Amino acid sequence: MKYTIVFPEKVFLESRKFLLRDPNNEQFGYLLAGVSELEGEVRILVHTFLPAREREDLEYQSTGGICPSPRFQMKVYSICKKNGYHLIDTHSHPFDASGNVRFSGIDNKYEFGNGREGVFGFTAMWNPGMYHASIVFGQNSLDARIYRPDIRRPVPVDEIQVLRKIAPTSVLLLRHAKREIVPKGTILSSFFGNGRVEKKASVGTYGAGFGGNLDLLYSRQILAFGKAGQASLSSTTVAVVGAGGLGSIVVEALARLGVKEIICVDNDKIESSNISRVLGSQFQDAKKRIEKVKVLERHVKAINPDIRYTPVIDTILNPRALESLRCADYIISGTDTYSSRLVLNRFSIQYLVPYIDLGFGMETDGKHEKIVSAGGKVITIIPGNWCFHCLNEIDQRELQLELMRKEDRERQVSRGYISGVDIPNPSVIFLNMTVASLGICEFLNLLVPFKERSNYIFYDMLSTKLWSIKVKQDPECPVCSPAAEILGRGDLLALEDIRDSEQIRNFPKNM
Amino acid sequence: MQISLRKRRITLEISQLLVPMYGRDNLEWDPEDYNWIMIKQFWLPKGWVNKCSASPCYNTSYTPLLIEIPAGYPSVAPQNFYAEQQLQCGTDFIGHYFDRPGTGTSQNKYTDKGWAWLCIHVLSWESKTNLTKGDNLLTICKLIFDILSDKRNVRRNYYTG
Repeated sequence: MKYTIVFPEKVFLESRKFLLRDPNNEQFGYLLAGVSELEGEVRILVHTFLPAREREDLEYQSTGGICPSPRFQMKVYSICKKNGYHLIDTHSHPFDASGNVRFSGIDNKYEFGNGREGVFGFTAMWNPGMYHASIVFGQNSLDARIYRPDIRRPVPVDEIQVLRKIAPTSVLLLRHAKREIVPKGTILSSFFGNGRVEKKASVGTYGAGFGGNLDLLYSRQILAFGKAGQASLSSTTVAVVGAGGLGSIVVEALARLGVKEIICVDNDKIESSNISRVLGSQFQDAKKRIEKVKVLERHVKAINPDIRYTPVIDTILNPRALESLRCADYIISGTDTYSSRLVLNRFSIQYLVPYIDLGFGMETDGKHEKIVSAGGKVITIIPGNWCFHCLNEIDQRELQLELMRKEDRERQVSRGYISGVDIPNPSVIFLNMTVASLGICEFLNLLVPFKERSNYIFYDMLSTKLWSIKVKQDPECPVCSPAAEILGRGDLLALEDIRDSEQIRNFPKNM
Repeated sequence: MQISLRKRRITLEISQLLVPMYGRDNLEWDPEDYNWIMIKQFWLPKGWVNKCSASPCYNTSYTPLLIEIPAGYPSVAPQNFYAEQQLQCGTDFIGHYFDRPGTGTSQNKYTDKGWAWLCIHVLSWESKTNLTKGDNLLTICKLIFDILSDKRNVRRNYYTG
């Protein structure tokens, strides 16, 4: 089983700053977390830091040791039990600047030294089902472990990820990490227990279809990102939502870049009108009405047979399809609908998965002979900062139309509120390619940073201009603000279907 | 046991906003899926009279009001609501808008249950974590009151809010 701890950057920096605030004294705090239980992996999703700030929060504190008070312990344990949260004890070794900080004998004794009498054993008994981990922060490194009640001892945490929104050099930890392995400023800055940096994907099996010669296959890219950057790509799983004009271009780019796995979600079938824009599609696919994700599977396998490709023939509005995204490291969506944005935005915040949303639009004159406006947007959501809701760009009327039941649609058509005829929008491949390429560029910049991030890019095709727009979090945002209690809650919250059921509702009789 | 944020939100809005406004005894809701909430006696704007002789609100300015809560709530605004079939404004019954039985094109599946259908075309909707700072079920109730207050718009079968 692989154990991963994922931090939003804000929480990581807040906890690290507090824990290393005094070079003469150890500090202590708790991290509250959600969890995402996957096949072969448990992701602990950190959302809140509770520092032991007050005198009564601590039993004792010195240069070489620290212990939380029983009152503080029980207060936090109760919060976890009541809310279904998981727990990480954090403390610091401010004296350790070695780059290889380790848990001390005192730490071992406090956490599990006396068998069931340690805090790990106690919480396992008091709140079964709660994951309990611990992290020790040194000046230049950290170490982490997680308790396994079945074997009554902790095991090392395999990886710690920090989802970052800002320029790489501003994160102290990375500058002091072992530089030779972590790509400078990678968004998912990853560390192994005992301060060791992530081992990158083994190239032993990957690339077998090319005789394992990845250098040859990706030689030009390696000149741009380095071998470490290429290794990051080949250990990354990306979910692509929508396999149409935008999504197919994204999928092809990811396949050629050499990611580890692509999960592609779409329930549409190829039509003849798609062939002008959907990469990999052919005349026969339209004739046979082949699913778009299947067409892309063939296309990806032809490009690189080593890439794992998982087709999901379903709409992303179906919670089951959404669930298939839990193992993704990144989500890129080209569906360009408000309803899919709504569910993906919340999913991204809930499971701490970065999400890039692509959209484009084009208008023509009345005769459809001349383009009068055209452009696109690339929006990058890094959980823990702002989200799609904060933008206030959801068109409520469009959203209602997308989600409308057949029955309601018929009623509204009969009243003349809506036309009842789907009017196709103009669409051309070069605009799709431009927007998809901008999105791929931002994705690569998350993984292997090479420029300042643009979290909201607006492209105007007619003036050939790009704008990078600054966005602030809405403190009352119902999705990403701390009060919304969605950030990092993972499996605790149900993935709900936002589509109204077509069945007749159970209305009570009037009177 | 996974938590449904939608149910948690609706429960909160009922207890913190609707109960103080309309009274607990005056409210009924779908206890399982939270797909509807009913205000048994919803006060109508001036000029409206309930002309349903079988109704306990007959000849008064009250109607039972049922609001359908969408699956995507609170991100998605409610758009369908249901009221008494025999509401009268001045001397008019607004048959077309209320889609009462016998009006020719009725597609309302709830006429047998005594409900007439209305819809709201909400163009702007912002829910917030602080219930009082954003849109919620109470703002929808107020919007319905405003729609009915604007009789001229109702007659035109037109409203954007």
